[in-house]
Formats: sequence, C-alpha cells, structure tokens
Amino acid sequence: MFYWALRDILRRPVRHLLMIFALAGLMIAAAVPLIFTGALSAGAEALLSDAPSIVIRRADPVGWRPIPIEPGIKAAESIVGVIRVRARRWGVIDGSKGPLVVIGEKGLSDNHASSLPDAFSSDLPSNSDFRSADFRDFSERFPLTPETAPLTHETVSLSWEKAGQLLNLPRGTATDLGVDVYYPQEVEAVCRELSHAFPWPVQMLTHNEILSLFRRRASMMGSAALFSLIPALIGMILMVMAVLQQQAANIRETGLLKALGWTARDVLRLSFLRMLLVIVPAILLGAAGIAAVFYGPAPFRSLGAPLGLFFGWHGALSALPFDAQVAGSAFAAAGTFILLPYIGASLWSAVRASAAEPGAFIEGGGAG
Amino acid sequence: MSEGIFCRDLELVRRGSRDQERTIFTDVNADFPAGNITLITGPAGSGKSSLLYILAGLIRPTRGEVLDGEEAVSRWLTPHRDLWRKGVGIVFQHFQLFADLTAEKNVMIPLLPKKWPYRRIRNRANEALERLSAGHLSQMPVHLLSGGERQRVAVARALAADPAILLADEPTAHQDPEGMKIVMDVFAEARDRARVVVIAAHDPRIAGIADRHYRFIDGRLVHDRSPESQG
Amino acid sequence: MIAHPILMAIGMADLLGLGLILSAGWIAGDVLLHSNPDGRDRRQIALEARSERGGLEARWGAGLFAFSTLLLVIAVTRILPELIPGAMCGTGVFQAMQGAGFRAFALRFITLLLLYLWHLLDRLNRTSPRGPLTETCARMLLIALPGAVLGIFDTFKAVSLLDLERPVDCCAALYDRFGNGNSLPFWENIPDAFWMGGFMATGILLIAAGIWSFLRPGRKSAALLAIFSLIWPFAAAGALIQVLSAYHYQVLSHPCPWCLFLPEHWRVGFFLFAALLGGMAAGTAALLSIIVGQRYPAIREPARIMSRRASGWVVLLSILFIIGASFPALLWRLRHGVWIGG
Repeated sequence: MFYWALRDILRRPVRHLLMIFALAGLMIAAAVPLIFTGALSAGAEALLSDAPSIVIRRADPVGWRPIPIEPGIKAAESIVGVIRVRARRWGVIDGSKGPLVVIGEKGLSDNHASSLPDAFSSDLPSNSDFRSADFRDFSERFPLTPETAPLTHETVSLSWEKAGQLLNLPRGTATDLGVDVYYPQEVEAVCRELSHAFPWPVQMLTHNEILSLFRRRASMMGSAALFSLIPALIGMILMVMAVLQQQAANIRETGLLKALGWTARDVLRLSFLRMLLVIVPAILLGAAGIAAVFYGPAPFRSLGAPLGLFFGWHGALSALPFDAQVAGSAFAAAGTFILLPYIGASLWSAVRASAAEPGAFIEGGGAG
Repeated sequence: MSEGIFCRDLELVRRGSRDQERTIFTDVNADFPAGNITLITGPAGSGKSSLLYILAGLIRPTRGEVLDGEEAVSRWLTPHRDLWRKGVGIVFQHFQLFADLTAEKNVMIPLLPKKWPYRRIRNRANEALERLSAGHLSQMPVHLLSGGERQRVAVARALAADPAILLADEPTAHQDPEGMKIVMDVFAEARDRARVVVIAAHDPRIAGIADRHYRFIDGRLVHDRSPESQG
Repeated sequence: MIAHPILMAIGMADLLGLGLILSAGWIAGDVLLHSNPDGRDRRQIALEARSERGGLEARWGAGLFAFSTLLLVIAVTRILPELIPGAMCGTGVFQAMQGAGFRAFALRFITLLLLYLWHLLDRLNRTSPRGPLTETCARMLLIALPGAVLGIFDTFKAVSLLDLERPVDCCAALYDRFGNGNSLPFWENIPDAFWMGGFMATGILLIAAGIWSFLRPGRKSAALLAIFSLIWPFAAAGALIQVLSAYHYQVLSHPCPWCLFLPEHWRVGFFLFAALLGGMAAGTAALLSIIVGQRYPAIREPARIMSRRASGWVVLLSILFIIGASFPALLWRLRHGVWIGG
C-alpha cells in the first residue's frame, strides 16, 4: 500500500512538491512570531534573574524625577528586611533609527575604547563631547546568558558621569534605586513600608511585576505580529481549496477502487499514507527553515527582519540560543494551525468519497 | 432460498436538476442463481448497466432490495457492503482502467488490500492475464493497448480475486471471434465453478452460452423463456 | 479576546464540529420521525442512505469536538496562564473567564461523555449489516446535541472575556475560600481521613466490580461497575485535590487541581484526570453495551466483547490513577517517615 501511495504521489510530482514547499513556508510564517515571543519571555527571565527585588522611582504630577542618591539610599536602608540598595542611571535616547537604551556604569572610565553599534553611530548628540568610542555594546560588556540577546542588542553602556550628562541627570541623582530584600516572600510587606520612608512621592515595581510586564509586552507584540499571519491565512485557504479541488479529481479513482473491492478503510489508509508523504517532508523542511531563521547564520536570520516592525528593532535578528521548549511549543502550535486544515481537507474528501456510493463517480453511475 | 442474487421490487429513479426525474426501471424481480450465466439484454439506455451497478452494490436502488441468499445486501451499512463487494468482480462497459499504469498493475489493484506479499499479488495478476491470453501485455501501459486488449485486461482484473459473483457489461463488444471465445471460455469456467455470472450485452453471440435470459422492455425486466434465448 | 493560534484553532475546530453535529442531528430527527426498517419503499431506502451520512458527520463532529476540548485544556493549563497577568495556572484563567469558563468545561465534558456513549452505540450498530441500533443512536445524538451547542457557546463567551490588561489573582482565588470559614463549600470541611477512606474504599470496590464484569460480563456486574465508576471520580478527585496534591506540590496544603498540569509537576494532571474521566466513560459503556446487547440479539456477541473490554479499561485506568496519584505521598512517607501534616 505504501508503494502504491508513493507511486500516486510521483504521478504528479510538481504539484506535490509545490504543496510541500507551500506547507513548509506557511509553517515558518506562523512559527516565527511565536518563537520570538517565547524567546523574549525567556530572555526577560534570564535578564531579570539578578535584578533587584524592588525598583523605586521618584514621581511627581509632572512625571518621573531624578532621585537623590544619598537620602534615597539612607531612607531605603532604614527599612527592616532590606539588605542592599543600589542607585542606577539608565534611560532611553531617541535616535533617527529608533530608541537606544543607555546604561551608566560606575566601573567604566570616561574614555574607554569601544564602539557604538553601527546603526546608531549617527545618533550621538551633535554639540557635545560624546564620541562613538564612549559607548560600549552592553551584551559584550557583560557576560550575560545568550537568552538575553533579543532584549539587549540595542542597549549600550557608558561611564556613570557621561550617562548622567546624556540623560540630563543632575550630579548626585540617579534614575532609580534597586532594592534587594532578605526574603523574596516579604516583598509586598517591604513595599508597604518603603512607600512611607521617602520624603518625596515614589512608585515601586517588584521583580514579579516587571517580569509579568515583560511577558505581557511580549505576548501583546506577539499578538500584533500574528497579523503578519494574514497572508499565511490566505495562503492556507488557497491551499485547502487546491487540495479539495485535487481530491475532487481523485474522486473517480476512489470510486473505482471501491468498485474493485477496496473497503472505505483501505481507501482511507491509502489517503493517509499519501498525506504523510506530503506532510512529513513539509514538517522537516519547515523545521529546517525555522532553525535557519532563528538559529542559523546571519544571511538566513535577516529573513526575520520584518518582525522588527512589531518588536521595534533594526536589522537582522540576533542569533537565539536553542530553547527546546520555546521552539517545540511554537512549532507544534504553528504545525497544528497550518497542517490541521490540510489534513482535514485531505482526509475529509477521502472519507466523503469512500462513504459515498462508488457507482456515482464512475460513468455517471451506470447511466445505460 | 438457494444460492444466488435475487432482486425484489427494484426501482431506479434518476434525479436531474430542477427536480426532474427519470424512472430507469421499476418493479424488477429477477433471480440470478449460482452456477448459471444470466444474460440481460435490452435497448441502449434501458437500464442494463444500472442494474449491474445495483447488483454490484455500487449504487443503491431508489426502492426495493437485492438479496444475496437471504440477506438484503443492498441495504447493508457501507462497511459491510464494502466487505461483501470483495466477492464481486465487475467488467465495466468502458473498462475503467488506470491509463498511466501497466496492464499488470491494473490487474493487481483488487488484490492490493489483501495484505499478501507483493510477489504473490503479482503472480496472481499475471495468471489472470495469462487466462485471457494477455500475458504478453503485462508490462505495457494501458494507454498503448487496443480496445480489445484493454477489454481483456479489464476482464482479467475482474477475475483476479476469484469473485463469487461476476458481472460484465458488454464484455465482448470489442472482441474479434478469437477474443470472444477466450472471454466466453472464462465465463463458462466461472459458471462451472458455481459462480453467479451476469452479463449485460447487445452481442447476440453471447446468447449461445447463457443459461437464463432477461430482457428490458419499457423499463421492466421480463424473463425470456423462449427456447432460442436459452443456451 | 486574545489572538493566539491555539484559540483560533479551537474556534475553527468548534465551528466545523458544531456544523457537522447539527447536520447529523437534523438527520437523526428525521430517522426518529420517519424510519420504518421493515419497509423497502423510496422514503425508507433514502433515509437509510442519509442516516449513514449522518453517522459519518456525527463521528467527525464528535472527533473535532473532542479535539477542540483537548486544545482548550492545553490552552487553559499551559498557554493562557502565561498571557493573563497574575494567572499562574488554570485557576487564574477561570477567574479571568468569569464563570463562563467553568460552565463551558462542565458542559463540554458532559457532552463528551454523551458523545462517547453515542460513539459506542454507533460502533455496535455498525457491527451488524442492517444497523439495528440506528434509532437508538439517533436518540443519543439528539440528547448530546444541546450540550455541544451550549458548551461551544459558553467557550466563545469565556474566551471573549479574557483580557490581557485586567490582572487576576490566581492564588487569592484559591485561598480566599479559606479566609472566611463560613463561606467554605461543604467538601472543604470534610476531614482528610474521610477523603482517603472514601478514595480507597470506592477504588477497591471499583476494581473488584471491574474484574467481576471482565470475567463474567452480565447485567448485574456491569450495573455495579457503572455505579462505582460514577462515584469513584468524585471520591478520587476529592482525595487528589484535598489531600494528595500536597505531596505533588511538596507544600503543606495547596488544593488546586490546575497546578497539576504545570511542567514543574510533570504535567501529571493530564494523565490523572484523563484516567478518571476515561474510567467513568468506560464504566458507563460497559453497562450500556450489555443492556443493548441483551435487547438486540444481532449484536449480542460484539456487545459482550465491548463490555468486557470496557471493564478491563476501568480496572487498568483506576490502578494507573491510584499509582499516579499516591506515588509522591508514598515516596514522601518513605523519605521522611511521616505524612505531611503529621
């Protein structure tokens, strides 16, 4: 029977080859946003693994205000349960190519030799003493785990003072304070105490809140990116129509097979094998394509560049480390979404034909 | 009830578009006993082929039933009719061969679901072709064969699974006297092995070997008992 | 509403399945009103053909409904908790669905049980060439149909209530029930010993009835098996959630069924709840097969075989459930020498 199914496929090789490529292409289109959303969540978790338990920012009715470092740290350290308070300088500068995240680092000298990512070299403030060499690629500077790549590839580090200058932070102030607590379970209680400890109004975000913010943002962007599936959906509908049309052409053969002593089960088995011979290569090809777009060399990764429209970055995708769970679940979801209608269309026609009167498909049902 | 196929109150109505209806035949009561060759004749469009289709379980009648022994097989559920149909061999008027396959592969088709080893299926197909003196055509694609040769391949395909019921629609229409003899010998052999053989034909040469003769007249099947119609 | 491929797949499968079930239901109504198996007139012959087509549509419809239910379980337990702020497992997702989710699940599982029984009757019907159970099948399909319609309607309603912006408090939903002792449902006040006693007693009786029904399939043994297979899931699920879940989670008490579906607990919930529901369905199937087999001689033998097979399944599934549910507790006891909670 397998041989028969293979022979059937080879009777129309071009059509089946096109179908394999179409299925694989649609699977890639559907899986790309899902994998990237998953990678962003995993990246956020990896990046925030060492982040402070609570982040405190000074706020007034106008908006965020720089937080004075010394009184801030003193006030935070006065609360029982707080073990460490760090002042942090960071912010976002608008460049012609999009936003660039800048982080101030105390350990860096003002004139260390490194460079800004190429895409942003024209975004330096024009009438200041900033040079490209002042900026340092964040992910290169810090030994971060590879999962963080999607979140840090447009982040750079500067010396503490130059960051303050660039972000307009007065001397002795920081963007926010990072607070570590002794028992993570006590975060909520410590937050309540902290809210009364400062002489200015503050807003606090806990580690879990930041993590869920990242996750929500990732999934919202992922949902938006799903709009990129609209062409995929149209493609899928066309494909299902093509399959149904092809099956309609096969219906005479199915009727004939039944007339020659095949049972509905035999016909279904043949259709199933025929379908497997199309979807197995399509799955393999789709998996190879997805692997190339996310985990392959740069030329392949540039195929994922349109995702930047939804996720807000530029150029080729950063190479992602392989995460079996993220890739596996996205591939399974995309496979279900794309392959299910194909399988349904293939088998439904076979079932319909095999359950119908076989004579109806042969010679007009014996009209004579 | 003895062995064979029996029709009871059969009626076939075809429906076209806009509720148009055409009664092909009605009130057909006929017996096709095992070990007999039954010939059905009638003018073109009288319903000969349709009756064969109903006997083969390929279409349902609009009324009445077909009995195999005492079982109303025409009303069986599809999976049971599918299994029953494995015991039916049919030769179609227009052969219904797979044009892009060789003669051997066409004859193999009814045997494929049997889960036999491939070699056994192939041998059985070639034996059937040999019986029809078409062994030499085995590896020829069907579209290269003549009408008569194709018809013999179609008969070989119907015989390959050694069916208990053999139905043939104009099986000699494209045969020369030699081909005609080969085909008729095969049917006579099936009769001798207590098979049900039903032939629908115009060909007067067949009447010579038929044991029973039915004739379609004005949408009704009439048993022709005249001596000249009996073999 | 969240645009996620799995929710789209559920919607597609549901709509297609519902269309097929409704069409099959229409034919089933026709069969019940007009079928006359002894006649061989035009109407009866046409009805027999349509009834076969209806059976095929119902099989595909039921298959799609079961598939979309499985996808829904996966979505609620694995995918939606990551998207809904504050949700850590299915409890949070149900909170976000505001009651429609629970109704959808309840209706879906009742409908699945009815469709499974329809499927069983249909299979028995097809063992005999003339299909003696055609009318019984039609009746069962019409019983299942409203559940399918309402279940799918509630699913759409529940999914449309999901909101990425509105946070839920997953654990609060669970522990708030304990905050005010007066509002506790009655089962929360049942002592652990009663849960475990009921679990073990009904489990032993169920297995015994299953073995009896397997060895001697008959109306009495199958009836007993069906009764216990309907009681057992409640006792077993209660013991699992109220007592044994603590050993799966390795905490003093966390009576949440949905956390059992999380990867950190080996997704054991899929296996345990499938075993419970499967056992319940198989126990009911064992009795139904025997009853119809005794009423219709043409299918007596296949019905007996089916009842025997269903009894075997009940025994196997209940043993697997007992092992899967209680293994972590036994392991804990072996390691620490005490039960959680003393």
